[in-house]
Amino acid sequence: MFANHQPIVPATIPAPNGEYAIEAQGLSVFYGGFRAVKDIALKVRTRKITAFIGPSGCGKSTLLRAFNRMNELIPTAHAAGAVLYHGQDIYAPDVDPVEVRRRIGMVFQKANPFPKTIYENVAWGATINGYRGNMAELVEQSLRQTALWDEVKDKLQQSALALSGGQQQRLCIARAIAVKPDIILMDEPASALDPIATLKIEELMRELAGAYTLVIVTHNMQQAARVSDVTAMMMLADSQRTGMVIEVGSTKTIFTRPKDKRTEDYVTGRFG
Amino acid sequence: MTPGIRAHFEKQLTQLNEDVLELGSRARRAVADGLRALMEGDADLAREVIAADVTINRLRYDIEFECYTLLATEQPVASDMRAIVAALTIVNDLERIADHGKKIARIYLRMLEDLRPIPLGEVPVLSELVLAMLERALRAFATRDVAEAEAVCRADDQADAQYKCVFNAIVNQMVEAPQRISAGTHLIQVAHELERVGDRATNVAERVIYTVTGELIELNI
Repeated sequence: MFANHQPIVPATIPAPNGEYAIEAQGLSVFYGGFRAVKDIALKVRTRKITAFIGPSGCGKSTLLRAFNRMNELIPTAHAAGAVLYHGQDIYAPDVDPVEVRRRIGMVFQKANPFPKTIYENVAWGATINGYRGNMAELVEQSLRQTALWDEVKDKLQQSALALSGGQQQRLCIARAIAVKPDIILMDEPASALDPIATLKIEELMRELAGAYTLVIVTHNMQQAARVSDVTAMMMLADSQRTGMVIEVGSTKTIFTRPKDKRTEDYVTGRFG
Repeated sequence: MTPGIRAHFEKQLTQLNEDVLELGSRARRAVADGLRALMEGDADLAREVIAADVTINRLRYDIEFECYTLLATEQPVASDMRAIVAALTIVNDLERIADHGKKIARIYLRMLEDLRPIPLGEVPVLSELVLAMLERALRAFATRDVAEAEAVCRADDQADAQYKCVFNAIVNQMVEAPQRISAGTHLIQVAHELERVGDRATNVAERVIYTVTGELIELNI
């Protein structure tokens, strides 16, 4: 895709390959003494969309953020267990969290473009990573990949803040993919958008899934059903306020004949 | 579980089940009355069965529309989705069962023109078998009873065997008394309609199994 693309950061993590992009092994995440999620054993399939569903407060976002060490930005947070990215533990002492976050990008619930031009927003990550290729081409390709190019090509030097909410979110996705990640984590990426903008984001996810591994957190079960290939159901453990994955399966199975009664009750709206 | 979180939807699902059972009850009556008309020589009853089919067809479309509305407005998944899509196929089979009853009534009215009637032989035995299958299928639907549904599917082999037995007996009678060929042909048609009722009861039972387990299986082989 980018013939003149140069490696931005020396590879300290093996190149992506294999059936699973991420594998959590016995993963727990703590905020101080509070264990937010525990005993997570989960394999995320490469170039597929995996959705985390479950009631509010069950640790979906915490688990998602553990996949690129984003929780470390919270001073009291720490993780136990392992998160293997193509076989290597991203929590190993010699792994640079900045490199982890470049390989495993993130898109948040609320679009958060910088108060800069559209062009600068997309070029920003590549610029600070010392990208030496054709920046204009990188910006265009990233905007094309997020189906935004035709809408913004004549106003690249205008402020990103002038875009609509849906466009801003697609811009944030363009910004994320401009640094050539392998995995994109999306935390409720469409929950602040209207239905049409939501459908555009969902369509974009399907497009991106051919090239990237996507993991999404969503409260919108129909969204999980529409866009994801695999669904992981999370819940709080019975006696504690700790989140666990209780069932993982193909989205088709989870939404037509889940095995766990708790999943059945949740997806059919009987609790939550 | 939060109690009553989808109370309105659950009421609608309960209503759907009741409507399906109402259709099932009417379909069963159509077959039973069609046969009673034949066995008791009651032409008025046969005409009533034929006339009642309009209402049955209407009820089937009402239920179908009810299902479409639930699919469009409630976005059901998992067991809810299975219950609704199963209801959609079950009402199709039930409406066709009623059609078989109507056809039996019509055949009987045509048989009145036969100058040389033919004894019913074991047709009542076949009718008892398939009506029992239909009742069990409806009971399995009402109680979501997989074992009962599987029993319906097994009973279909017995019904098929009985149909062959009835068929052979009628053919033998026609061979022995060619003047009864017209009446015999009509009676074979009646037996065939009954055999189809058994097949459709099996279809209903298969969809009950799907509703409960999510497994789509063909038991009527």
